Amino acid sequence: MTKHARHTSAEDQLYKILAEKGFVLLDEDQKAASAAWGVLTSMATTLGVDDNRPQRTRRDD
Amino acid sequence: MTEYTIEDARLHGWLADIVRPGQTAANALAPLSGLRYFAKDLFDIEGHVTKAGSRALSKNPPAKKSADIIGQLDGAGALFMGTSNMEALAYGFVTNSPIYGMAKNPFDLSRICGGSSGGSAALVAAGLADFALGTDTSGSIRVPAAFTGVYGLKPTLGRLSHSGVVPLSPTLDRVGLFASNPGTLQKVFDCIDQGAEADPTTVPSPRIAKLSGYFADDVSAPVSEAIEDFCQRNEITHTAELADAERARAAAYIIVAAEAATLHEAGLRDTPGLFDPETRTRLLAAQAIPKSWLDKALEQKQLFQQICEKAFKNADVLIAPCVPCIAPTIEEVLAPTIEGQPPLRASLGVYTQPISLVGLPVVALPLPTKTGLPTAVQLIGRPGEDRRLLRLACDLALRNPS
Repeated sequence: MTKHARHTSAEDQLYKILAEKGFVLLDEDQKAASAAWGVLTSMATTLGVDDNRPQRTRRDD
Repeated sequence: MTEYTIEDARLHGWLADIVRPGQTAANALAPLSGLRYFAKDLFDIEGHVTKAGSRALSKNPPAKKSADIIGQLDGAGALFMGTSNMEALAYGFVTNSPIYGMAKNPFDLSRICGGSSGGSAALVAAGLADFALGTDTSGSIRVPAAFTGVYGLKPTLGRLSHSGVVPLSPTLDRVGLFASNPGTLQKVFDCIDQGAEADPTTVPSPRIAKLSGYFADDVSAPVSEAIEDFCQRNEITHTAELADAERARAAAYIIVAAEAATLHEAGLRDTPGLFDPETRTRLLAAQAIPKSWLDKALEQKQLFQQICEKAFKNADVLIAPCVPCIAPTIEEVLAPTIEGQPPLRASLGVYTQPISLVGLPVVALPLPTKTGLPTAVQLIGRPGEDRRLLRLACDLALRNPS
């Protein structure tokens, strides 16, 4: 899988999770939300997490 | 610096909702009598809606009572002047509220004054307040203190009341102070401190070590030179290293994002249009942070705590830059982000976020730079040694007159 394809897959997963959780992601928000997710992923990588994909279950779910 | 008026404060984006100039002290003998102060827009003021710089909270009912700390300050005779501008929901280092606008730096109005407590810092720097209340989760007191050249205090958890203060990240939030001089900072802290620290006059002079490694990398020349000069003048020759600081920063970032996402989850679902787009998208992305990241971040918090404890075996106070650069221009922070690179504003907390993770008390001590703009150094102490740090800040100010 190419780097680009992995990135797109993470974005799709992010949008899907947000929709499942009942959030409305406006069209104009998608790019900024992806960028914000990118910063979070980079922090998670620095932290040394095993899996840096977005997930539906957070601590409090 | 230019002399500023309250009208200038409104024009330059330092004020929030409430302005009460011209009040007089009820008790001239009270310890803070005659001292004017502003409170960041996230402290409850009885009868007013606490907006935290965001329309997302503007539908909330007015506060039934003022934050405890406001009551303490009133009791001590301080003059409440009003509320100050802040970054929306305290989530960022700029202070560009969708309600109150961009807070400009009193030293150079084309530059930012930092955030999220930027209005408070600017009002003190501009001479319109003797002190101001702020909060610091990731650096929100230390960053604006550095950009505006005022003293800042981020105390140990539990020293100042958080009651009636809008949270961002309950794990890392700290209520703190700005002041134009360390004596005022100390005097105000003495009146509102809930701790039981021993009298710092009875302890020997602290051993100070400058943090190297992560905290010396990527510092811009003006900031680095100012800190070198400070170390030379004060004969600070020892160095210390905090391993894993980069991981500590990442852990702090993730904890704040996840906790902020939780706090605003209902609002994001019910009234997303009330959030400014940038805050909304950051909070939305954080809704998908996996539990495993938080576990890892909390694990890192414990590890970094041990690393810090080890460093404090050989030093009583650690010093580090507050910020990597002098205050950026407004144009620089508003420029579109280059794809694949984090925005400039996110990097402003690079030296404050690791320290936030373990909740150490910090005094931001302002320093001049050759550019004519200020910066500041973090005086980082052991948990609970807040008064000792303030005492050191007073001693250093006497030894290094500005």
